[in-house]
Amino acid sequence: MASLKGTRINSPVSLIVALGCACLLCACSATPSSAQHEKLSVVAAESPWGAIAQAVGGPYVHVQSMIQNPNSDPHEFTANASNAAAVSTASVVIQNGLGYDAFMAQLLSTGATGPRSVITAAQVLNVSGPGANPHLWYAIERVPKMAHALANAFAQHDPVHAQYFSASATAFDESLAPLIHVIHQIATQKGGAPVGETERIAGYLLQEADLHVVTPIGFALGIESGTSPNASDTVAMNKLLTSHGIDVLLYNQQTVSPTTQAVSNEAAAHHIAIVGVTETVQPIHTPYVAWQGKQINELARALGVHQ
Amino acid sequence: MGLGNYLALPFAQHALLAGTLIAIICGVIGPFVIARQMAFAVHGAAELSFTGAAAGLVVAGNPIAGALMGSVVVAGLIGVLGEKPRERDSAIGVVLAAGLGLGVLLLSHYQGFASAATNILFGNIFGVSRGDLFLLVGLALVVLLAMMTIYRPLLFSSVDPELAKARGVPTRLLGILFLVLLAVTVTEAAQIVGTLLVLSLAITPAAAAQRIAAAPLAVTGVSIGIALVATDGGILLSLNGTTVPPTVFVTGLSFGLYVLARLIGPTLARRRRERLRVLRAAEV
Repeated sequence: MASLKGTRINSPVSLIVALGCACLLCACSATPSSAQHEKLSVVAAESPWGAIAQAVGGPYVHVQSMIQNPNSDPHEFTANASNAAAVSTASVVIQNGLGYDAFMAQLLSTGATGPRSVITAAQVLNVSGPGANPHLWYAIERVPKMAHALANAFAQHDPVHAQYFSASATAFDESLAPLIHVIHQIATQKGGAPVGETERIAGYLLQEADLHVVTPIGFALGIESGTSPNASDTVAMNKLLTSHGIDVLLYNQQTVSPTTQAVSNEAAAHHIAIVGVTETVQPIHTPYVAWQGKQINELARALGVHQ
Repeated sequence: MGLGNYLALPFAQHALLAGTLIAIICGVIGPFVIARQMAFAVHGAAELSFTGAAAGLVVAGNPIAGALMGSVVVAGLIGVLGEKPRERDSAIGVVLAAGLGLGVLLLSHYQGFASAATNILFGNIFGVSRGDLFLLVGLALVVLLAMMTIYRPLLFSSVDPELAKARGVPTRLLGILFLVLLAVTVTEAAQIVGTLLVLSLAITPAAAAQRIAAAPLAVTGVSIGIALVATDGGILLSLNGTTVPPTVFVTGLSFGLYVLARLIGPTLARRRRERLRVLRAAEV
């Protein structure tokens, strides 16, 4: 009997502990919203693909993007339990491919609880090869392909709203028109202009705008891989900055290192325009078109393009 | 989402199974790592799988095979260069530094997206596939069988190398054999569950067990027990909707158990001595 008594909540401390545990349990079980069950659950490895999925799926999807934190380096992402659970219960999973999100392949390999479609951007956009630039969401003129692939996948899991999905994919295409217009303006007015980059982030955008990256590829690869650029690439980079060999420097604002900081300082000292670009959508939850539109307009302005 | 919902998902079941297997292997190997003062070798082997993976990637496009072959080379080098216990630490440091440099050289020749090398190389406890599980079971069987075969002579040569040598135990061969076993385990396990997890399980539980138990088999048993509590407990704690990665819980738990062992260790040792004294007095 005495031992039974002991288990009762008989002191303020144990009461607080018990309440604390109860709150924790509530907080954990209350996290998924009730609406989530009706919505199609979509998990994107990177927030640009998540933003496009949101544009296509509208109110009928619940999108979760894994890499979206502005302060974290996407190359050093580690999955936690809720990420893993989201991937195994999702209806549609979007990954980039090209080695950019190997963690997603690992999470997918554990298995799924139900039918699941996996959309790989590299396959949809038909990009492959070991040297391919993985930042596919900067290929503005090609991302509509992804929007339509997503609309098809969503329609398979939610046929009732198939028409909505295909209509909003088309609407997404149309919303890109002003961006593509600016890209063409850059190409016609400044085509062939030399530009520099600290990482290959906006590579596809620069191709579309017919801007030529003249800074050494080894420099960008060294920064991306974290092995530091070698001496000759660093010298070449500095020469281009001091001799005004580039019109604009594209600078990754998301993962700053002393090396890239030094490059941007040098560019500023020689009055070379610096355009900040980010690896993933910034600020978080901004629509894709608004995020890319802002960056593209800044690029056009820095190059002195008349619109 | 609560623990119950999580446990129904395959990734969580795979994580617990993989964690249990890794804990058993590491629990068995750990006491020898401590007795032979080879904690730094564990670290070296884990870090250098990067170089092996880079070599595999550049030469054959296969980082995993490269990492495995690399780990055997590293074990051999550490074994040959660091034969004397006094030189072992510096030999590992020398091999580690040179190996990492070689890895950077290899990566600079790789034209692809370099993070692919490091990403593919290191696993995640929440990304364990069915195939990975079979591989882990195979690895566990090989390591446990090998350890059972060499257990007694390895123990003898770890506790008293001079006497073991005098009695004709092939101490040098055993040392290198154990190093290879250790390096392959660390490399393979790191690919499936991540480096940090392997590091904390191959060293901490055995270090704690040594404070609690005295007889070699008891140390191994306690070491396996602590590794199991830390791994499965850590995984279960992380399955609660938290965004904190599971390795944080596993390393935290094993460190907590180590601190506990250091606190109660002296008391347990005193009691053991007293019991021994009583027994001896009774014999007399």
